Amino acid sequence: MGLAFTDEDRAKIDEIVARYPNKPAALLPVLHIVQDNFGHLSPEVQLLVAQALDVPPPRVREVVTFYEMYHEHPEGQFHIEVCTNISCHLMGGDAVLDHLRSKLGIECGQHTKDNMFSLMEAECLASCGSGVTLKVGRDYYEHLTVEAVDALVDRFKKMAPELKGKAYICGKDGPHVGPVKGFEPPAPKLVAAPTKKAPAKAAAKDSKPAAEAKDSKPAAKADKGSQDLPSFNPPPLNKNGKK
Amino acid sequence: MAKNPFETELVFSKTWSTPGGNTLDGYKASGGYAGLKKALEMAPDDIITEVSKSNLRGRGGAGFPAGRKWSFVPKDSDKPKYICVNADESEPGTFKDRYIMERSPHMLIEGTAIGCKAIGAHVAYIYIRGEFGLAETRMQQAIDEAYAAGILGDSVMGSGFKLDMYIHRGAGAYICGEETALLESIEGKKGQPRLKPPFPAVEGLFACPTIINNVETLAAVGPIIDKGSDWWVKLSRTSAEGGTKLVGVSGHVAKPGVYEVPGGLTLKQVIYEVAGGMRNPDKALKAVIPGGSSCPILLPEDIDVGYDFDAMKTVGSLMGTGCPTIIEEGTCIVRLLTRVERFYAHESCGQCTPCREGGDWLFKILSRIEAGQGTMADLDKIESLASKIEGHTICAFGEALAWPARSYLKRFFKEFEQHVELGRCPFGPIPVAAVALSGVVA
Repeated sequence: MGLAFTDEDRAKIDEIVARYPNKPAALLPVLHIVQDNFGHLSPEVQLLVAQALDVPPPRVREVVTFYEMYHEHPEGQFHIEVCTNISCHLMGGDAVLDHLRSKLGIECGQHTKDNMFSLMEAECLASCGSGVTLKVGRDYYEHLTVEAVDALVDRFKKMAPELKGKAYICGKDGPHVGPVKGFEPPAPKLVAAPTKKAPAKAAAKDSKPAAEAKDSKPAAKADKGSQDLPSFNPPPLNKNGKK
Repeated sequence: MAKNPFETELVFSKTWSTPGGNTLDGYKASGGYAGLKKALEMAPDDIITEVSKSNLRGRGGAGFPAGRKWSFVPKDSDKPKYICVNADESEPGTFKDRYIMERSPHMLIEGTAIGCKAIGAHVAYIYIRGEFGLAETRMQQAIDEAYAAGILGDSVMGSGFKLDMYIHRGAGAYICGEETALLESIEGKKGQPRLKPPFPAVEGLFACPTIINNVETLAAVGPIIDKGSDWWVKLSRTSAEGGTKLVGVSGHVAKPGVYEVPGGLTLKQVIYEVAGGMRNPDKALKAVIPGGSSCPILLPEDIDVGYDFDAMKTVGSLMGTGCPTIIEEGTCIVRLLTRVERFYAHESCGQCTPCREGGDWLFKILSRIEAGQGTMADLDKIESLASKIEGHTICAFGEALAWPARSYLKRFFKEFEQHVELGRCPFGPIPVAAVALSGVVA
């Protein structure tokens, strides 16, 4: 088959190899860029990588099959991974995943007939304070609800023709982290610190912390609005960071 | 009088809400790279002593003193030395390192550079979790900026000290957060942990002396060298542990998120004063997972305890990564544990039989119980299985999957029993997706 690396690919591979004392160490990063180019890591592509890095082909395959992010088969253009691990589980991740299954009509590990979407359950995406979270390409969508997911899928459908058959990696401004536009979560409700009811059990012995929290900082900060809080719940990142 | 937890001086999150705080200019404007400048003029041993005096302990979960770790690197070795930054944050419930890399990446570069100077390393690899798109982009931007400004390269800030820093992107394997698996992964192999000894400080990456530190640990080093260990120690409310720390509170709290707090708060303060208490005041606290999914679960009566490495052990748990997950009344603990064990069964690297097989068995038994098909004998099986996995594997993954099983069962035994007796989950039907994945025919 006429499968080969372009000169550009080769230059990139050489640049990566130079970072390590030996060639095989470059395997993981090289597989990443090769997968981005070819869409998935077919046996032919794996062989190319093995030759480029002087490693036996089985060694490439064992790495490809060990790591979750390498795919031997093509995924949908939008490969959706929904987190349902602890924190997202608590925030309703299972319901979001269930909704996506029925909306797209596929199970985890399958893709839609038109190859536009594939669905997976993700392990913890380290976005626990803003769950439910899903990952598409390099983007994170947080604070998901069923409605937000609906809007997101519709948006992807509109975007699909622009991709011209390629898999979605991330937007022009770089990876997105944050809620789906138009579905931002409400500002954190400041439940006037521990109220009488909830902490009654936990904080029964000592009510001081509760009283303290109530009339000191958190309340004061709340008045100013949650926008410029220095340390907690930092505002969502602006597109690409200001340069 | 107790200090208000929010009046702490910010170290990690100082520039988080400043536009451009992630850029070199933004970081420098906040006093960044002063620590590195100072460190370049210090003797390596003095850097290690200063970090040791600060009592900085590994923030990845194990709490190993950072200064002591660095001192293990043999000084007479003529092999190259390496620092590997463990940015493979994947412990479920943990989400603090990603914030550092996205919002103050230069802080990590500075700390890593100081560490390299201290142990004499000229190459550092930052092992970033493959899923972290934005974090990787921001880190790479920061590294490029640092090279352009002469902070990295052939002569770090004009000192003649050579240092190269590269990002090595992971590819989705929880186990690569284990330090020796991380090394295997950088070497281009499957992430399967190595037997210790030899310890990485003596024989690590490419068989050379290697130090592996967590992101938050290294990020703290710059300010510590800049302002001194005394300053760092004083940031904490107790002498047990110095400095401030990032806590990532998630689950059923009013204000989940990452917060910077002084050391020495209690877990109760973190939940009620920092994170605003329960999100639904009508629901009581049911349980707390104090620092990532592998930590034994705590009951509400145990949370009035210092949130630090040593104090947490007194209540039979761990501080772990410093990211507590809060669980309210009405949550099914069996379902939660089933999810946790599914994670471990899925992520086992497959090297040791007790973990590879045992994890899957645990998950299957738990799915059965949650689906209402369990027996009382199954409950005994969980305990006996978990106790046989714990301590019988090459790395700590065995413990990580056994601890939750044993602690959830011990502390919520009645709930497990109830599932068996009722023949169904008392908290309502299981989501379809979860059933499909468990393989149990409901």
